[in-house]
Parts: sequence; structure tokens; C-alpha cells
Amino acid sequence: MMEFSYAGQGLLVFAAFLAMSGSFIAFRNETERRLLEVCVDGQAVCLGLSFFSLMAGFIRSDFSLLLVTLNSALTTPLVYKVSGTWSHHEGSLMLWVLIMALFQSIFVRQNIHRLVKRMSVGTHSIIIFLFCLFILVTSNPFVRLYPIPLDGQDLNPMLQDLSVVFHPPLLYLGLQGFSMIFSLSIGVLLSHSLKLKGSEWAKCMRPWALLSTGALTAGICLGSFWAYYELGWGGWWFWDPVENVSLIPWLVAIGLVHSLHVLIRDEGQGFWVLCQALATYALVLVGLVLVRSGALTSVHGFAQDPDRGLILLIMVVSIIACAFSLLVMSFTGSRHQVSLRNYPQLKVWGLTIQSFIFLLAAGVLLLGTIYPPLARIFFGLSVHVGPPFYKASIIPLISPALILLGVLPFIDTSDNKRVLENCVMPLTLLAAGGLLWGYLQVELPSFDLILCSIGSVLGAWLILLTLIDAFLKWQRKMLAPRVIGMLMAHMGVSLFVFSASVERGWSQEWSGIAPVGQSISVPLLGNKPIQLQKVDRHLGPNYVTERAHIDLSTDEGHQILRPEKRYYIPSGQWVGESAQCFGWLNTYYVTIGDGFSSGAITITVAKHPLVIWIWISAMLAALGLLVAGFPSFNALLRGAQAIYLQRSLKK
Amino acid sequence: MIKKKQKRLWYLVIFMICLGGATALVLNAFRSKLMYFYTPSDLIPYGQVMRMGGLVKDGSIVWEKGHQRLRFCVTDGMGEKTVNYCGVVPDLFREGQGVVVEGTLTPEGMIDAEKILAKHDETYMPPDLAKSLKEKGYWRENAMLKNPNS
Repeated sequence: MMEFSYAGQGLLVFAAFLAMSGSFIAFRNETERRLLEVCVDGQAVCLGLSFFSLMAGFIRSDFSLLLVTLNSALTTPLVYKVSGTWSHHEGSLMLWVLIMALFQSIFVRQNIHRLVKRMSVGTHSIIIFLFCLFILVTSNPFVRLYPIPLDGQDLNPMLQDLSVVFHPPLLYLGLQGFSMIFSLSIGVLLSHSLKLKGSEWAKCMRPWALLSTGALTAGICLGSFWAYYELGWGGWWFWDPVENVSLIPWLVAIGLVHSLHVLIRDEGQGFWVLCQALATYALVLVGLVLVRSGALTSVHGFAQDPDRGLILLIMVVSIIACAFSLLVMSFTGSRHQVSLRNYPQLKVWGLTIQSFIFLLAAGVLLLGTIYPPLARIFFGLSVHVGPPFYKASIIPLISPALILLGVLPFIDTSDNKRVLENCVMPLTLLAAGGLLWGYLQVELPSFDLILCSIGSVLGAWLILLTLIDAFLKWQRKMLAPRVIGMLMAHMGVSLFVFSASVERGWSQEWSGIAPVGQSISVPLLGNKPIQLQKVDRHLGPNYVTERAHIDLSTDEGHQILRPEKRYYIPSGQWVGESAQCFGWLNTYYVTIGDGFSSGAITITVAKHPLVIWIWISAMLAALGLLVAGFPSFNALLRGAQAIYLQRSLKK
Repeated sequence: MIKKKQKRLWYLVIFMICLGGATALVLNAFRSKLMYFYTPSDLIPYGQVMRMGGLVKDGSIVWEKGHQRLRFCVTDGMGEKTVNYCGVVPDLFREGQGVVVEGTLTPEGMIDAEKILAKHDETYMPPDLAKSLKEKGYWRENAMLKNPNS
């Protein structure tokens, strides 16, 4: 069905046109509000239809499209045909602009100063236009293929997995939310309303910041979960460059969320907040360039094309340069401060320092990520920046911010001195004492183990303090949705610090040969036996698989795990599938390696304590951000509705 | 006004402390935690964790202790180094294929590998490896698929 894809391409062109005219309309002075809304919605609808026509091509296996041939096959299961739409460079960019346009449609209905709104929408439309143009010129998803092949080459088998289906959309929801924040900041600068009364724009920006950081957290968490069971290395974060690229804007966004909180209560840091808001999306764009230009060596394979990278680089650099020169030009020095009388200055200080630490951490992460390509270009050096680098730089850098997370919630309006003296100080001393004791127990531990011990004590300390904080807030009847969201997010971070440190510090791994039908004892299971019962073959929808049945007895009971080695027929690739038995305390992780003629195979068994809590806590944090963000989001939309109602009544 | 100026000074001091701390951490990490990439004919420093890439030499894979310890040669056409490894190898670890090992050089001139990296894709060649093989004239198209010595 060719007409679908022709229509898709046409709609994409039309969307670009609408975006351009949208920005003209928005920037003109005497603007018709309705016309702007139509233009904005038109972009979303056109891009949506265009995206769905591409998806239709995938679902119908229309191999006259080059993209479908490369990333799908007749035998691919339907879910992965659908997710195939966004599992590669071109399709993911389509999703990227589509989400951008959808957010713009929501934004245009929000209750915010008219001038700021117009300027923001104008900026946003320009960015959408640039991206549409980029897609059309360098990475057109509707490129045709002739003669039409009979079957496609299938989606990369590693991506044929349910959590990767949702990973990119969630990630892009988060990253594109930052694009809205970016445009809003530009709008604020262009309309000279940095000092707008009551920091109205900050109130409008906050839900976007909270919701998109939440979505990004969930997206990263899913990606990490996928990496854990699919890559078969038994790790959940590899400091891989592409992983880092998603974490860099996240770090800045966390700082931004807290600075916005300060700004709404204590106006005086509008400039600092705008810096962070612009930096967040600027870093998203830098990440896009790094990932799509092939500058990074990573497990994430995107089609890599240096020319495309150059165009993208020019585009992104000009966007960022415009934004930051505007920011610098608008800097007017010191500003009159209006502080709500009862908002403690100590807290303002703490939160500002905290957000600065996060910005620095993002900078260090960016440095580590771009150092290898830069060293290759400028010094001709081949160098790898791996986990040891980040462990020695990022983690010590972040820990002061974590200590602030424990203490700052208690610096509050009423009798905080008592709480500080009665709860926080003793707990802190206890934690320090625990650390000292642990240090004396272990003789010359490795750097990693020291880091993990400190991390786990810090995590436990944070968990207790957050619980006390929650209890106190409950007692004072302060549990508004926003506060609940904050507590959830803080709890998520505390749990994450604890479980991640325990997992990194006390994981064990064993590998050996298992003959069929024979029990072998494994030290890390407490010398309980494991037994390879049999290895058999199965036929999947688009692969054949060798499946081992391994009987594993653990402290928690008896389990049969079935790790596999799959051979994907259309693409001709081998992919190992690990098998796990998840437990609240310990997770056991089994992968199989080469087989021998005797029927024995090499197997690897690993024990990861508390690993499941890493994703639970990340999801808790994401949920907390969403809970905190939704009420104010709704309020903004309701406010807008009320205004519409008033207007229509007047008419 | 004095109070405000003082406040700004304090902010500046704290920011400088943070920035200084971060710089110190980064410089320290840069000094000792980077992993450089070598090929077997390069001069490799002792005791430092590094990455070495090349092709697994034909007929050099020797399994010891019931298929748990492994010894093989990595070559780039001009030199070769023996690698010791303990554990499960990646699916595509074969003789004649490209491989990247992560480990340290021992005084005996052997590499103690902590990790063996090979992708799950037969056409994949790590860019660093491809580049250095090209430089040393040992590159051929589809080196991953065919035996380089035949």
C-alpha cells in the first residue's frame, strides 16, 4: 500500500510548513489566538498522522519502504513490528518531533501570561520546524526501495523485548518535556518577564519539570532493567556513553526541580533557574548529536552517518548559541528580592548548593563521555573512560548533595531546632560511628568496597531520615499531594542509594562446567547443588533456541531456571537469554555459554543482593515526581478553562 | 546592602569550593582511572588496567582446568601477547576473530584479562581495533568472518 507512505511524507512536509507559519503567527504582534491554536494543533495532527502512516507500513510489512525492510520481517511478532517504528534513527526522530508537537498543543492551552505564551510557542515551532527539516533532508523515513524485497532483515533481536518497547517513548516523553521548558525559558527572556509578578512562569514550568523528569526516570529505569536481563552481563548500569547521555540532562533536571521550588517561594534566583532550564535541553540536544553522529562507541547501535552528524551539530550548536547569548544579554545584575517571610534562608542556601552540585556532576559526566571522541580527534589517542573513572569522580561529588537530601527537609519553619537535635544529629553520629566500626573491621578494603560501605550506610541513614520526615509531616497534617510526591521521590532516592551500594559491594559470581544430569555444588549458593537437567531445542516465531533446564536450590527454595541461546533466523544473529529468579532479598542470575560434544555446557551463576530494589526505588522516585507534578498541571489547565468560560460568557 | 554583598560573597566562596572539589576529583580520576587502548605490538605499561585489541591467533586457544581457565594469543600481525582469562567467553569468541580484552600486563609479559569483549554480531569490529589494524596494514574487509592467515 504505497499511498500510505506518500501521504506520510506529504504530511511531514505540511507539518514543517505549519510549524514555520506557526512561529510567524506567534511572533507577530497583533495575533489571533484561535489561528495560533489551529496552527499548533495542525502540527500535532499532521505529525501524528505521518507517524501512524509509518507505523502502518511496519504493521503491514510494506517492504517497499527501506526502513521497514531493514527493521522488520514477516515473522516478527506484531508488538515488535509496532515498536520497530521507533527502534531506529529515523523512526525515533519521528517520535521525537511528534511528542514535541503534542506537548506544544497542551502548552498552548495553559494559563500563562499571553506574551510569554506567544513567544514560547514561537520558539517551540521554530525548533519543530528545524527538526522536521532535518528529518526530511537527512533521514527521511519514507525512502522507497525498488525492487521490493520479499522479506525484511528483522528488528535487531536484542531489541525484541517488551521493556524496550516502552523504553524509547518514555525516554522521549521526558526529554521532550525539557524542550517545552526550554521554549518557555526563551519565551520568558524574549518577553522581558524575568521579574514577572509571583514568578508566574516558574509555576507554569514546575509541572513540566516534575512530569518530564518523572518520565525520564521511568525511561532510564526500564532501560537499565532491560540491560540487566538482556545483555547477560548481570549489571544494571555500565556507564556506557549512551546511558550517560540520558543521565546528564536528568542530573540537571533534578537540580532544576529543586531550584524551581525555591524560586516559587523566594524570588531572587530567576536567572539561575533559567540557566538550568536552558542547560537541561541544551544537554539533551548535545546528547542527540553525540548518539546520532556515531562519535561514541556504545552497545546502542544507531545507524551512523558522519554527514548527518555534522548537519545536526550545526543545527544544535546554533540553537544553543542563540539561547545562551539571549540569556547573557538579559542578565541585569542584582535584583530586588521578595522572600516569603517564613521561608528559611538556610534552606534556600542548601537547595542552591545542591542544584549546583548536580550541575557540576552533569558536567563531569559530559566530560567523561566526550573525552574519548575528543582525544581521538585531537590527540590521536584511543582511550576508554570506564566505570572506575566515574566511580572516583561522580559518586564522591554527588554524596554531599545526598547528605543535604537527608538534612534539608528538617530545616523548616517550626521548631526545626528540636528535630535537628533529637533525630538528625544522633542518626548522623550513629551513621558515622557505623562507618568507623566497619572501617576497623575490614583490613585494607578495595576502593570499590569502601565506596559501597559508605554508600550503604548513607542509604540507610537517608531511609531513616525520610521516614522521620514523613512521620513529622503526617503529624502536622502537611500531606498535600505535592508533599507526598516529594516524600516518595526522596524515599526512592534513599532506597536506591542503599540497594545499589549493597548490590555493587556484595554481589557474587561463579562460572563452571555443568554436565547433564549431574549435581555440582556452588559456593555462592551456600554449597547447595545445582543440576543441569537437560538441554532441548524449541522453535520461536522468528528464532530457534537451545534451552537449558537448570535446577537451582537456594535459601529461598527450589527453582528451575531456563536460560537460552537463540538464533534469530532473518537476521542471522545469536543472542543469549539469561534466566533469573527474582527475590526480595537475593536475585539469582544464570546464563549459559558454549556447549561441548559431551552435552555439558558452561554456565555462570550470580547472586545479586537487593538488585530488584534498584528498579523499584527508581520507579518509586519516578512515581513521586509524577504525583508531585500532576496537581499543579491540572490546576494550570483548569485555570485556562475558567478563562475560556469567562470569555465565552462575555460574548 | 552590605548584608546582600556579604551573602553573594558567601555564595561565591561555596561555589568555588564545590568547583574546586569537582576539579580535584576529575583530575585525580583522569590521572589514574583512564583505560588506554593498545594493540599487541605496542609498548604496554605494567600493572595498569588497559584495553588491548587484536585478532585471536589461530590454534592458540588452550583450555585449562576443565574448561575454566583459558589462554590464547592476540595478534596484530606485528606482535602478539598471551592472554590469561578465567570465566565464560562471549558467544562470538573464536579463533581468527577480533577481540578486545580488558586487563593488566604482568611482569612475565602476559595479560591477565578481567573481561573479554566481543559483540553479538559477526560483522562488528570495535572502531579502535579497526583503526589500529588499518594503521598497521593488517586490516582486511570481513576480517571478522574470514581467517586472516589463510
